[in-house]
Amino acid sequence: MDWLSLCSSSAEAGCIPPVQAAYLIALLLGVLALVAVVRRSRDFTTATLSLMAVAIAINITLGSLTALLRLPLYLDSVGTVLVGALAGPWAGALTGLLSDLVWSLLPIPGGAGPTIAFFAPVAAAVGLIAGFWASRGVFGLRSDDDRIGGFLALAFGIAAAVVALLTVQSTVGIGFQSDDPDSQVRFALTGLAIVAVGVAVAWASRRTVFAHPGDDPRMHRYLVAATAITAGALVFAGIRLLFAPNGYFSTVTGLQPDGLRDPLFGGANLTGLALADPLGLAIAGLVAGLSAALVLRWAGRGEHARFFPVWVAGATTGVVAAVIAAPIAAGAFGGVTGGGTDLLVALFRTLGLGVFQSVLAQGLTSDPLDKTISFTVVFVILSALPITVRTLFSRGALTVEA
Amino acid sequence: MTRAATGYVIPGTSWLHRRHPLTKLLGVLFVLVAAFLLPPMALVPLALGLIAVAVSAGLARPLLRSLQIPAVLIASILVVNALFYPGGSETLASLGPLTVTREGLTFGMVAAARLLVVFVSLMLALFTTPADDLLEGLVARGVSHRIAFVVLAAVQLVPRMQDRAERVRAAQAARGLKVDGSIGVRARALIPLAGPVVLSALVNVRERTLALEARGFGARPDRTAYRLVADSDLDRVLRPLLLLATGLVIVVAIVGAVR
Repeated sequence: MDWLSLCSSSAEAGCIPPVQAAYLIALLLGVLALVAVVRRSRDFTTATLSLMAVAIAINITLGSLTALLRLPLYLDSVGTVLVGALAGPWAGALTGLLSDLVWSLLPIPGGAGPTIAFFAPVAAAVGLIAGFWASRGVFGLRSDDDRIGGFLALAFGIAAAVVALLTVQSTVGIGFQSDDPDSQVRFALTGLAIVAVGVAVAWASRRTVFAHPGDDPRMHRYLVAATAITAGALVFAGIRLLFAPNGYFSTVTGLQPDGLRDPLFGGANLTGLALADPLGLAIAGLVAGLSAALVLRWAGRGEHARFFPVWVAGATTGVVAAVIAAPIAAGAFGGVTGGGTDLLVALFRTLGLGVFQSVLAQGLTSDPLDKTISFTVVFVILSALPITVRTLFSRGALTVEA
Repeated sequence: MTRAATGYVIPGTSWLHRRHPLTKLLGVLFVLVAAFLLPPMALVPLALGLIAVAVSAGLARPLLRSLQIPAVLIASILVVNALFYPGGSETLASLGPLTVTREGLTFGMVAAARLLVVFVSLMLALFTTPADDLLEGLVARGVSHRIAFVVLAAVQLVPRMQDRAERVRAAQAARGLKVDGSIGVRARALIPLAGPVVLSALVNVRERTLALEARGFGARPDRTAYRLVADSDLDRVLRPLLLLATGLVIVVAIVGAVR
């Protein structure tokens, strides 16, 4: 079975080219997902099916809006998450699949022919994970629930993994050369070690710091602090994405590449909003700190700290989505999908990363933020929906505060 | 009917219009598999074949016009790959800090050509197949009518939500909400505009469910079709041939990859 190995860029014969393997695997996974979901769909109620139709329309409408504005976000999974929360993971997965397939058939911005259909497996995974998190109760958790400790520990573990990643990157560096098998092994081992650090920290903190019942006043203080820190980090990431020297506004020049007037924002030149770095970084930090302080006061009152588990669920969903989407975007499109996220890919390319790495880096930047926003929107929609509508669906009771 | 609800359909009676929707779907599948799994040289006969199909069905002009849809995508694939392809060594041209490499340009052109071929085949199918026919054809083949309902309802809901958004905008403006002006004003108006649109659509799910149930949507016995889609002898021959060709391409691709 010698031939059953991926080609390095030097070897040509006697092995499988990585791109071809990626297509075959994507095709196989897509077919498997479709079969599994369609088999499950026999159990869906009429209410679930009509909710799915509305959710697909919401996905396409919001998604085409961000495509029109060329934002470096997607926002095309609000409906998918909503169905996952109300009708379970399989209904969510089917909504994601059908959204992307239908969208690619409509003459609407962002559809652009078959592009978006390639990402249907990603949307299906988002629906599945949203259903999983909803069954853990993220949309109906009270701030004195015993499960809060688990979410705090999970977030703490993720934070530890991110710190470990940044440490490794700034000390020894993450060497990854596509033509050097040794560096790839090192890359994989480093990745596993970082994940292990996160898991260990999460497990240890769950056993010690966060082991108390939810109505312990200490737990409530932790939760409020975690909510404030997360909100600050989200605001910081959002500001950097829009206003960084090479962020969103640096590309809104009022002109299209061919020199014509850009219809976006009436042809206004907004590059002045891309702030130069020491100043821009300071402003982003300041605004993030201020919003964290505001959220600290706001979350301390009433049940507002309930947003924290929702954000944890959204961010983890985003990481998984990015990891699944990266091989598709790199393999099928060379990393360029015609959306606002392209500028991020191009930015990472200029930093010297390869096709796959820059797509993954772009995904890990856009997706967690994007899915966190989507989960928050769904949480707000759910709390505004009448209980009689929510309980039409099989999992609706889980979204009612227990 | 607004444009979004009817999709791209161009009414006509050409031989492509008369083919069964499922035949065209299998054709698109064949082109998709062949374009992405076979080596890049296979794209030339595929493209020539598609052009012949388009001309013989009298769809060349609308097809050319539709190419503006993926224009931005194709252009960015070409530009980004030509300029930023990693490991590109052979420089073709350079302008300041930007260099066009041969490897990058080749990679970009192949990726763009694959996409273009699949796009053209999909457009040819969409031009000649109304969504109702496609779904009716699929339901007759045993695809669940429940899935077909979801797809068709979603396609029709998109323009209706746009209508509803316009009505909510007018209603909120009549109540004194500022909806026009600078970006800041428009961003502030987003929640009072989007909120009622989304919530009313979701509350309507209950009415829709009750209406469907009252008309026997969830009933078990077999149903009969109101629309009948013509299925000619030619279609019956073409479909197994297309399936066979698709399977052959996959086998060739695997064998070729192993070498």
